[in-house]
Amino acid sequence: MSTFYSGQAGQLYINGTKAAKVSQWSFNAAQSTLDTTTLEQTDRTAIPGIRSTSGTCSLYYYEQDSGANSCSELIDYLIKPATDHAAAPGVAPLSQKVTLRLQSGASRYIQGDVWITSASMTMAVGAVLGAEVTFEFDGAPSLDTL
Amino acid sequence: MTAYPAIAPSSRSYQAGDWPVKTFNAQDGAEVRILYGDKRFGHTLDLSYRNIPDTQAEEFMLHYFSVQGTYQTFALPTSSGVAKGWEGNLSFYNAGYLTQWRYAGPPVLTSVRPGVSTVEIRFSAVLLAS
Repeated sequence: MSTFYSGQAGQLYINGTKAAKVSQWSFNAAQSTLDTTTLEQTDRTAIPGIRSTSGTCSLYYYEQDSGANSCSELIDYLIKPATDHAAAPGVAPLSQKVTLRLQSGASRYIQGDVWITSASMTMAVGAVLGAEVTFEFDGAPSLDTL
Repeated sequence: MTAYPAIAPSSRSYQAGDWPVKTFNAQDGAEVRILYGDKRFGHTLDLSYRNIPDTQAEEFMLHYFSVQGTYQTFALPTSSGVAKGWEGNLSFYNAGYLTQWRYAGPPVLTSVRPGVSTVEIRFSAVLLAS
């Protein structure tokens, strides 16, 4: 059956678990090219170079009855407190990769291991707390059925 | 000697060299130049082959090995591809009368991505003993 996909069908999975209260996700796949133009040619030629995939997602800071908080879980892959702040304030555990699945429908998604590259949160009067998270894929996506 | 690869360069830079001239300046600033020879020498040819397959990059290394690096001199025939894109006289890229090219230094091979490399080469013209 012909169909459109909209935000109602969108989902985000963090390490295989569906994240709660996701307001948006997006990704960008890019292909660089390597110039192969030689002196006898009049028009630029190229071969494929390196691909890269990155994206963003926004989650509300929503705590479920179970205590689970997808937003908190995700930003914790980036934000690491110092192991011994008094002795070595500049030493903290390294960031960890996380597996994200950006799903546009029941069987339509792109999945891969990503590094969280930024997370920003703003608490404001009259607004629900949430986080804007950017990420970059480590290598190619592991699954892609988009 | 292995033939120089017949591949068109991505860029080419030629420096014309000079005749063996010595310049003397008198105390009043007047200049005197003495010509010690009738042949030009010291010209250089820089070639860049960007983003070529590794198998082609290897051909440049094989040529370098076959002329024993910077030791042997050689001519670059027009079939070598060195002059591709040049619409003037093709003999322009011969080093000149009693002059041949040699490698000024080892070719520089830079790997760009799997299977693709860039090669940078510099030739220097030397006068042969007459």
